[in-house]
Amino acid sequence: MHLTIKIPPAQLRDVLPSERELAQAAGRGVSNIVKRRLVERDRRGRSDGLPRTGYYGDAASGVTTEMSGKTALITIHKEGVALHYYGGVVYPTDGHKALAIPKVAAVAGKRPAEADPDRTKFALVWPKGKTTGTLRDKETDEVVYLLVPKATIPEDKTILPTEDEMFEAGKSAMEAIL
Amino acid sequence: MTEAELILQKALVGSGRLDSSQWNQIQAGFRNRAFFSSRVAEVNILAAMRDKVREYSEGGKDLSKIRMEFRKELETLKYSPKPGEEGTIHDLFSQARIDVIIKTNVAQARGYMQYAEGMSPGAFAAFPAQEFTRIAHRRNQREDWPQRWAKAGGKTYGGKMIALKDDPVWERLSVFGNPFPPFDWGSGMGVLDVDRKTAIQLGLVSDEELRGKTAALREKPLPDFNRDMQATVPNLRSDSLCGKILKREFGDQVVIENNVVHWQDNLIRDVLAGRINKARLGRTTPEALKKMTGKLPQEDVDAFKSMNPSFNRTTFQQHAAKHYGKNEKRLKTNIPLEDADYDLMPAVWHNPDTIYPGNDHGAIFEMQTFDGNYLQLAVNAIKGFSSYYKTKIPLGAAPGNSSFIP
Repeated sequence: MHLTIKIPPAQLRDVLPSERELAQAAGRGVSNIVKRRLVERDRRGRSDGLPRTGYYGDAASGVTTEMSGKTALITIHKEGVALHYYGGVVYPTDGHKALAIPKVAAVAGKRPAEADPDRTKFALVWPKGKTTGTLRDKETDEVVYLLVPKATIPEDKTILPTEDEMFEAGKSAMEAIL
Repeated sequence: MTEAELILQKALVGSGRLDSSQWNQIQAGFRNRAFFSSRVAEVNILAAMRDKVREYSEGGKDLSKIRMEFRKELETLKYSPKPGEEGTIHDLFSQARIDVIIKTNVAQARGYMQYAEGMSPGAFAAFPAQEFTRIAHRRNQREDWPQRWAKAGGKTYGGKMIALKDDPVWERLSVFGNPFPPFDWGSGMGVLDVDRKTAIQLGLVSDEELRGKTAALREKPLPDFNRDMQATVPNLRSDSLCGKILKREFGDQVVIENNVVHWQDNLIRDVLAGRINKARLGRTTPEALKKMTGKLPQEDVDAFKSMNPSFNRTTFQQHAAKHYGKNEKRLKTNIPLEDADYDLMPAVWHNPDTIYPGNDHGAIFEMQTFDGNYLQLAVNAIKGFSSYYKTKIPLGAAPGNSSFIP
């Protein structure tokens, strides 16, 4: 036996969410769990002793969900997040021979060219035959930057939830409005 | 729409002598749509800032590189801080100032995007409330947020500051008057969604009320960030101090009616696209009149002083065809005008760097842009605006070395 019930679309809409709304809810659910994970990460602080910059918190503020029909695309608008997640090797660009790793708080987040635009404060020390060098404060001889030919960033999948966690978050959000 | 596009749509507004606390008094609906920086009147500097904010929001460049590039552009524009303000937050070269400009604008665009997504019917139905909490660490964190939350009318639940997304507490909490983060300059406080079940359990809303609110969102979605360029400002009259400040800074680009400020955004682009027939940019400024005095015949200076010329697409195109239509050499040396250049045209009229005398009651108003080029607006003291150019060399250095782009 077949039973057919016809509900006018307008009335149906009042009862059930549309597929697009389900996608909105699922997308929001996933972006929420991504955002929360990044916020938790921000609260942990840094292990290198340099001042905290709020990097992962800013990444959390840059989580957006773009709807395309019934599909939700989650994006993290923050440079370097993908590099930390997947890992990789960073090489110097723009004709530079080395990467400059800040070693003191005063230059954190600054390129050497910004920290010493007139090239009067820092001295380049690169022993012959060595693969790394330093930029040192001319007055104190303190190492301000470590100069390296490349930097390897280890893969860190913990900065984001697992695929299963994201799937569950999306599913729960949809179930909440059904 | 991406956050970079949101930023590019912001109208350039020189804030003149207003500082950030005075701006805070002007309602968010208007300010959100304007790209401004406290006490920066030069619109070409604002254009440079807006461009850098866009670049940062698009990724690919770190903040240090953006700062260095912006400082170079400020040097091109011959900016220098006022004596005694070097290195302070008022100094546009300072790291603190550049960071505030870039981070605040990007944060507002992102805050709006997250807010708008959260107010879609599906997302709102699943997550109707949000918790006010620290999202990002800041070196000097404000400690008075719980007091500000309470003062704004917010309630706490188990120590957590939670409210429905459409609760007016959010706008009252924000110094910008926005219902979305950031809620203060440089703040790392933000919001995390609270799900439907929790919101109902806390008594914030009933299931039935939620259905009603969701249905309302289906019928009336949020307006675009940059659409309706108007804002209601309580007790605002044209002759009030705030009204006078707005008129002084924005000229005819603002109209004040019944406490509502209407902003005529991107006037020139609208005319060129045929969305409106013509646009009046208001009178030029006393500073511009000073620059033409002695260079132009006094009768022309007097005519410029009283004129309120309109920008007309047809006149511009006829001028281009008559003067440059067959001049292949000049057309080849054109620098194409971009949207940002059109946004600057009112500023060239109001605040040019230099004014050159032209033929037959004409004058060229010139302004340097942050990319080292020059915008030139040809205006006739009798007929009004006639053409608009962008060149690599200032008119004073190479007379006639410019060409019009319709």
